Amino acid sequence: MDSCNGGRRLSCLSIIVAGLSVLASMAVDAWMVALAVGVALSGVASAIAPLSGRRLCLAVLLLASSLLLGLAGGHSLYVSIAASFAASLVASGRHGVSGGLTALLAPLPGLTVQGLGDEWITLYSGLALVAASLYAYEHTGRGHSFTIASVSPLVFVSGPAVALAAALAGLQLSALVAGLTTSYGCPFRRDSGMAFTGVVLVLIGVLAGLLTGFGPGEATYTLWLTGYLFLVAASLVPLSHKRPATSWEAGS
Amino acid sequence: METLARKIADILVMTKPKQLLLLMVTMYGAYLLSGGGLEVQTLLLLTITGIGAAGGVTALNMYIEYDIDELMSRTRGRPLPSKRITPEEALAGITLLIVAGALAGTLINKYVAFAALAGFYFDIIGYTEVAKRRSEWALLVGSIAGSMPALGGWAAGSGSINLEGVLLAGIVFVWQPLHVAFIHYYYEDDYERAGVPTIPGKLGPVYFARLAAASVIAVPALTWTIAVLMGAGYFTAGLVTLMASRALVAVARFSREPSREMARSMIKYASPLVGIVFVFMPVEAALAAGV
Repeated sequence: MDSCNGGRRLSCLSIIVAGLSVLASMAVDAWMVALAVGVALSGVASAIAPLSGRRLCLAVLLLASSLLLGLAGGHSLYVSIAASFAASLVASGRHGVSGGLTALLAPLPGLTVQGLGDEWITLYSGLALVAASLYAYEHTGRGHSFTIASVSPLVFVSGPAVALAAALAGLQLSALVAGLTTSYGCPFRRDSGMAFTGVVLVLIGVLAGLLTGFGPGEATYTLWLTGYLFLVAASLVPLSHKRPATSWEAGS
Repeated sequence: METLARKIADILVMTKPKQLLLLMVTMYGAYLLSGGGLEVQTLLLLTITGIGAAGGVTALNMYIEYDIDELMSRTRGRPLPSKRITPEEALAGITLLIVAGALAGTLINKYVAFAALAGFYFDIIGYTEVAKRRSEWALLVGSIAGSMPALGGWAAGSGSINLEGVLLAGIVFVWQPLHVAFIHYYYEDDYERAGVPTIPGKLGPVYFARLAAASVIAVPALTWTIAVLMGAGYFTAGLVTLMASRALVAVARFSREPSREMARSMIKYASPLVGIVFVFMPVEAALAAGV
């Protein structure tokens, strides 16, 4: 039970429902929506299954590389996503004020790359940052910072209005995760190896898109969504699962 | 080199080859029935999707719950509980399988990728992690996952997901509880020891028999509906009706005198139903089209 951050039945339910919407949106020809929800949710899932020391460093290193490559190649979407993920990963390893501050800073690299001229972007970022800081101080937890950071790239993809809506929806979801569920017991634990696999798959998707220069495509989205599924699955491993710690986990 | 080959063989064992074969039959059958023609490249990609996604998800299932496998005599000899393979090795191989399957599906079209990822979602998250250890109805969630290869096969041929495709996948969905619940009955002691609730165990053999009867009736009903919609497959529907009638008589006998032996024979009655639909119907449709 010590690996639990509170109960998760409701959070599982919300993730499952949201996962269904990801799949449904894929089926009705809305890849970008699917991607966006997937990215946001993988953040939530990662928050439930935070990465341990060595893997966290490796993930941040990979993300930093993709950030640099994105800057060099001028692929701002990837830069935004990679930067947000990197900041989120750092936030996942920090509690309290430092985690909150990291969450605050998470969307900034993307916003800076894109420019802050648009008033909607300013409004969005303002709201997102205020919400992030409030949640960070209140809960000193993870779900909120992850969600805020993960939905921030949306602003460059589907327009500011969608981004705002997505940010608010993400907040509601993270509120479920962080707050409501704590009173419902903890039926699950996490599998760090699977969570790492999920992060690596998302990263490979980003890097593959960057290196080929083709930009986001269906194969990239598939990789991201597969990574997302691994992350969620990693966070929902039943408590009775008595697998011995892997060498990765033992070393963390 | 020999060790590597043995590890690969163990990962393949984790895909449950016999079950995978049946899923592949439903996938190929749906592909052929969809009327999209036979393309070698699509067939090859579909094969990779089937083995990678369906097989990989089954193996991931085994990775997640090998604590249960250790408790059941039937599953104790599997690669992970018997320590022939480490969790890290298993996860690496499984990840490769699933990624290859999902990407191959994407190369066919996004609906096939959808089916592959939906299979992952319903089997791992919905069935194994959320429902299996909590509710005897979990097998319904697992059945959705089991119907995804058929849906993917249909999408590969038709380029979309439509009513016929969903109905065809529905045959696998309604058939699977029948098949799985009798296995649960046969190995009830094992499942009880592992703390997995089952329909026969929780609701009793009479209620369970009613459910099995509904499942047996639904298979020919759906087959007839598809035959009417497609204008082909009437012979198959008739054959399935005959087989289902025989199974229905056996279910009635089981409800009067439930026993493990009867459950075992029910598995034999139930198993061929889906195979017949997905093998005979494409052949019949091809003959009707004059191919």
